[in-house]
Amino acid sequence: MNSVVVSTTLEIDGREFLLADVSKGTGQVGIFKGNNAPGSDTDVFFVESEPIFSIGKQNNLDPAADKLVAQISGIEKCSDVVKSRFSVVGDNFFLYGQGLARSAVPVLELLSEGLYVVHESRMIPSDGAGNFFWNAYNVRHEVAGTADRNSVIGDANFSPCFLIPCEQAASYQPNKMTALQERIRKGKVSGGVAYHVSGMFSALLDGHHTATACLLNDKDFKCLVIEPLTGVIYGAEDGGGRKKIVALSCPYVKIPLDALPENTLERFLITRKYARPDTYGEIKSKMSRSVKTASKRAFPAAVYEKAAQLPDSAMVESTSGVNSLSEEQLNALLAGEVKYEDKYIISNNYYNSVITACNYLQTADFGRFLPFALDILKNEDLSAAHKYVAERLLNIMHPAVYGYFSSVAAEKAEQDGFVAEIAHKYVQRWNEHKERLRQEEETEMYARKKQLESMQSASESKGLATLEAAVRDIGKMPKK
Amino acid sequence: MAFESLPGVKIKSADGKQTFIIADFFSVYEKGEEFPAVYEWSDVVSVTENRNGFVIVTNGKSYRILKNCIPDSRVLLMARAIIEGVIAANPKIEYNFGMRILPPKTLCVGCEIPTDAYVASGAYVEKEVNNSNVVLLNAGFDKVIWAVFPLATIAMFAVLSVFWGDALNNLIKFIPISLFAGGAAAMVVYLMCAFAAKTLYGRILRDDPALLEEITFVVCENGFMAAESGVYGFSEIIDWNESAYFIETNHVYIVFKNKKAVFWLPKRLFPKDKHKELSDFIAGRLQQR
Repeated sequence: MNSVVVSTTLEIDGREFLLADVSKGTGQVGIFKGNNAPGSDTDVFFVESEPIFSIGKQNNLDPAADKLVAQISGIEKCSDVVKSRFSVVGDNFFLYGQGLARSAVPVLELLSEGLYVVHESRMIPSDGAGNFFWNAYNVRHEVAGTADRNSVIGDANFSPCFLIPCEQAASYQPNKMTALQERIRKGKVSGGVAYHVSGMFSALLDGHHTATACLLNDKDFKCLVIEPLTGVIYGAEDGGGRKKIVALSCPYVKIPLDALPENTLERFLITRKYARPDTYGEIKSKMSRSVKTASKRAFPAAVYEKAAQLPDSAMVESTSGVNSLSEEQLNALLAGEVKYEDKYIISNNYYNSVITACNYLQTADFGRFLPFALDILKNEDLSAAHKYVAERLLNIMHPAVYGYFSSVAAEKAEQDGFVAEIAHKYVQRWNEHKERLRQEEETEMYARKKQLESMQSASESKGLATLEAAVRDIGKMPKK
Repeated sequence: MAFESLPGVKIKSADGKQTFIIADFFSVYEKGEEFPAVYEWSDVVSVTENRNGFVIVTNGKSYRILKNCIPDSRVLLMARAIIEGVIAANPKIEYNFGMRILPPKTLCVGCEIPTDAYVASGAYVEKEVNNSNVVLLNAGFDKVIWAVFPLATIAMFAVLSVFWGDALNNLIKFIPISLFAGGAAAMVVYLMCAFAAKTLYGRILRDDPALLEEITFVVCENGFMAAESGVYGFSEIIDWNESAYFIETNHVYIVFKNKKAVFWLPKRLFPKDKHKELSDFIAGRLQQR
């Protein structure tokens, strides 16, 4: 490999990250323009000569429009050399405590020329809509949160935390999970490696099984995230009506020009966003005849249930777009106001303000979320927001929510209406959830009982063996 | 956007006071300034390429990039391809350019070239360009040349009548003289056209260094393309809908858009037994004249 990686560790806005300048990059991992026919704009994420997935817009070039994502192939078809580089990076960083700069090099060498920001972030193993990430992109569909520009987030920093798998669901191996879950219990969990592709979404290069195990064990799944530094932030217009660039940007951080190492800005300006890989022809031919491998192994049911409870893209964008909400501001919202002390709390749109506040609290301050959401539902004057809030609560298995919905279901048993409908659905889910917990408890108790029995029998047999050995020893003792 | 995989280009002015970067942005480093002026291409009002170089006009400022500052023709052609690629995506940018034989890349759209496309590469040859220019000019002046003959004949007849007088009695003398004068005038116009056609090559050569470069030609069901092999990545094409008709000469196929030749395809780059097939293929998509 002839790649040259020059990296600098920076800290801006309390965010520590690595700024890597890759020159003579081998371009084995990245994004290229798959089809830029008029009215469409489709990018392809590739590794070596494998087109992993396509992501693009059709008949709508609005940067605020969400994109269509479809998995095409899997990283398991790539060479072991490349795959081992990905796993080495995760292990070196998360298990062996090597620094960002040293850990990331094996992957950075695989990228095409350009500037990259590398950081550690907590990822959400879902598609941003409550579906488990690993098999969420088999069919090409529009994915919320993939837009290049997000009006709620604006220029605020955020981590592209939702995942698009690079391995196909068929490569899921249930037998790996036991060992991984055991490692998680012991606190020896590795992380993954992800590459930012669009909006709030990153391609997971390594760590699919770890992400699944973390989800099952309610543990945070962390990744070393690589973000191409391709955006710019403009300052205010000067006297001549000209706007000047003031910072380079990627979702995670905005780097002011004066914080950039020497010549970095020039490198940024001369490097083009899209590079064509050497394997372009091969990738294109594979795209035209790609056959997806059907998954024969099902993911555990708990994976889907837990994924449904993860924050979705609306919550994450609210968390990124809202810094804080005071108790007084929440009370003003509950009173139907959009302003507090003559300032907009979130926006001038009441519905938008309430749902953004809900999303923010659900992600950032769950303790205040439930009372706020339930207060909205109890207030008949705020009925415009009832459906959204009720749907938000549908996946939260909490006694307070159950208390509210069960009373609504009992009171409005005969009534139509979406809240009553959601309440009935919730009660049904609650009962199913409780039943599943009971079964799990029974299974666990049965397993413990078995374990205890086997331990007892082992100690008994050990005791017997000890007795026999003692007897033998006694036999060997010299007679007095 | 077309040609977006081409690497960016950096050009320093002769006096070293300005450095231009042509890539996803248009940036200008002024000597002594810490940070460059960076423009999105949508902030560019017009681009003019003339014999001396490029003139890029942004909102309120005009930049001149002289060709003699560009180290070699490859860099010039890359800069031109990037500019034309971004203009294809930002059609509001006014674009002016000189004589060309290659189609402007502003007409390009992204497209996959099918495996059964007709693909060839090679440089244009002066003889075939001249010959085709003569055919083109003749075709263009066809009606004019035929109009010159009767007009010159009538004019001569009128002149003779005025100066000689008594036209009716001198018809036998006047008619052959007038016809001869009309024919001579038509011949002069024809020769002038031929001369102009031959000088066209020199003018194109002065304006466009691509004339001496190896060119990649593509004809396929999606459209056609002729671009410098050094910048072409087989993912851009000009849709058939961008053209109106084509003509076939002894040496080339020429495709027209708005009565202007936009695509010259030399026949010699394809085996002779393929000429008929290629001709039929184009005729299946465009009207032949």
